[in-house]
Amino acid sequence: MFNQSGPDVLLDLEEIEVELLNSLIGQILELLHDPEQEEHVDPLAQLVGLNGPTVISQDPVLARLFPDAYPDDETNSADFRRYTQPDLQKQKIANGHVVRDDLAIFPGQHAVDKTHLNAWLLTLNDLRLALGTRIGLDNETEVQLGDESLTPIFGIYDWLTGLQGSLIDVIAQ
Amino acid sequence: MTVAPAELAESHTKIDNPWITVVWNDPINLMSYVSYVFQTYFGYDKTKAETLMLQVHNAGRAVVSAGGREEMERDVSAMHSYGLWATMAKDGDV
Repeated sequence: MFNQSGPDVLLDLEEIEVELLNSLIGQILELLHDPEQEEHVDPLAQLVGLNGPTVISQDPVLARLFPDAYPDDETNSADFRRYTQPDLQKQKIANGHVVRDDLAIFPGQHAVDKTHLNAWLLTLNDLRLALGTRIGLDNETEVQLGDESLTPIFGIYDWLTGLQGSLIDVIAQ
Repeated sequence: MTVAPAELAESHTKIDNPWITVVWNDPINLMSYVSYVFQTYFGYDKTKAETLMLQVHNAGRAVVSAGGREEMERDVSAMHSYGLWATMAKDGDV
């Protein structure tokens, strides 16, 4: 968890927690690279910054991270997506890399560079959105609590929630 | 006929702010996080940010900013960068 100690922001992580974060970040980075999109890049479109996708992703996690901007308006949503999604994707990937690089000095308790805290906050949020969407929290339906195969994921999700909450407590002061 | 000041103010707002950014409730983003995003990105004070956050939470959505179309596209994109579920609309359509 994060905590404030004088001028420093400290983070305490056990080895298994470091491995978990590395694994989850690796998975979301893979998802964000989206090879399907990369195969169909038009060089001219890329040059003028129009290489983004135009329709909402079939993957529920990507659909949650990059929702339609104009409800019930496909044309304007497509234009918006084409202009904005590549940059958002790059930001998320860059944030993930910052966190993964910071993890290199863990486990243990270490100070985190304050200029990296925003990347941590956004990456932890992306991980919670991804995991929460995968276990069906996003559609507010009754989650199958009887499904024991999901129990470890709920545990991980709750842990991420606590970790992000501890970071917000520190930076929102 | 004289236009009442209140009506003047309202029509002025509509012309200057024809578009709005709407943030929708979702069960994943933490309430403290949503409030933090409203303070950080829009520069709203804590009271206003928490009022909007509670409106999102209780009413299912809140109008968080209003302005020109390009400005609102920037705000919606920024909300997406924070992982908030945001859409835009012409004022009066929502």
